[in-house]
Amino acid sequence: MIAVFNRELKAYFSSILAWVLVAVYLLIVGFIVAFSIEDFADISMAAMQGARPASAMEQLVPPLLTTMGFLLLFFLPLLTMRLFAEERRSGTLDLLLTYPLTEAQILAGKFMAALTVVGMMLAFTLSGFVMLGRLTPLDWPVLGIGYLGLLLLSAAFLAFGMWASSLTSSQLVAAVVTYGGLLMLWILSGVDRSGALKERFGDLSALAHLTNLTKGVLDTQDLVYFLALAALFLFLTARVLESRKWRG
Amino acid sequence: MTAKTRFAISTILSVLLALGIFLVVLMISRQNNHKWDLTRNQRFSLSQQSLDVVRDLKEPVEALAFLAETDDASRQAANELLGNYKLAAPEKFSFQLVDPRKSPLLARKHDVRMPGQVILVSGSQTQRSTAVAEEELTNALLRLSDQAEKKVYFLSGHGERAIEGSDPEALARFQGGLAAEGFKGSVLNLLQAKQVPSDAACRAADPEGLAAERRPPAGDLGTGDRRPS
Repeated sequence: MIAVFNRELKAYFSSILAWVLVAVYLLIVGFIVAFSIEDFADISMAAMQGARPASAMEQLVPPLLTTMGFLLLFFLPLLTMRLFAEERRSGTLDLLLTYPLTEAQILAGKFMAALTVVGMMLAFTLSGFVMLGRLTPLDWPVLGIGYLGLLLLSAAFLAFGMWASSLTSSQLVAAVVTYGGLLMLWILSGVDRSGALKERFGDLSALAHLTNLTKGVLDTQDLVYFLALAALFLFLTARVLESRKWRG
Repeated sequence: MTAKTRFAISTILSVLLALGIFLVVLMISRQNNHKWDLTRNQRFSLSQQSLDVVRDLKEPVEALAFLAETDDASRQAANELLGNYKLAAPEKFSFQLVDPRKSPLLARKHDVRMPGQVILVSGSQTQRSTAVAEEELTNALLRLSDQAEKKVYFLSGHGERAIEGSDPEALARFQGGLAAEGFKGSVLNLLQAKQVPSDAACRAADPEGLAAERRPPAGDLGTGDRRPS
């Protein structure tokens, strides 16, 4: 697994794609943080007239973290689209499957490499909050829970993207399927207007679970949702890989 | 059956099984979840008083939160707040969000005319909370947990308005409002009964009744008198 992990991580950073993705993501997040701070300054001024002062941990940080999660929806498919589709197209997937490695090890290596890239991307965004912390007091454990939420969301999104990538040899098709699927996952609660599914299974939308975590509420239901979603799509990817052996 | 067919069948079955397990895991995690509010002022948790009230409920209570289906923000807030009550005492407190436009009969039954109200139902008793807010809900739960049935006597015998029926002059709405707050309405003819029954929590005097009976006899009544307009 370590060998696959190293190979994938090297592949990410030897191509320009990972660098561009990280740079553009940081640029957009930087802009959003700057604009949000400006908005928050206006809100704080207005709140000074009232009885209750504005709180960055209530009005600024949770929406910022949710927006960062939403942006991941556009960036992660670009990270996962090549994982299996490219190997299929170039014929190296069959070679990889002949190595003395199980499907689980191949999957785990690729998944952890992609998650490491996202983890680095998210870690860089912390600098924005460090700067914000100089302007207004921040509740760091709450921020930590928010980042845990972003990492779990990324894990679930990456697993979905890997599954989509394992289905086709076209990176473009894999990316489009991932975009569509993740967008559906994001807005899923809107489909269940009657609330019947929610009553039984909890919120099915990734947005609802991320929102809880960004507010600083650690709920086992949210953790289980993201972990179960990641496990489900990793399992489905393993089945797709396994089926190749039989199809020949 | 060839090996390929067997593999295809086993793949389909295992995918279905995985999906089933995924949904079961979500269901179990919903029913057995634990929450930690890590915010500095615990702003997403119930106060100790609310926790005590909901845990000390003698009978199960169901909260019906009447909120429009299109009002996502209010529904989300109600879900969180009522979810906290449920989490504190899952065997005693349950809730459902009701769209008054989709369930007009239920809304009419509880005299809900505007969204944003919560009706707490416990057996035949009901209490109304006019807002989806912790203070209001806990007060309504406190009123509901007071098990003794409170009676309101409507004076009759001198052409007072009826307390039931669809006549626009009838006091059905007024009585419905009292019922939502846990009072049971009955008719009382003072000329026949001679005195106000001892179980009266309140006497409702119709302004159109006799002037003498509009004045409460000394010592009979508390501060809860209401006069319909």
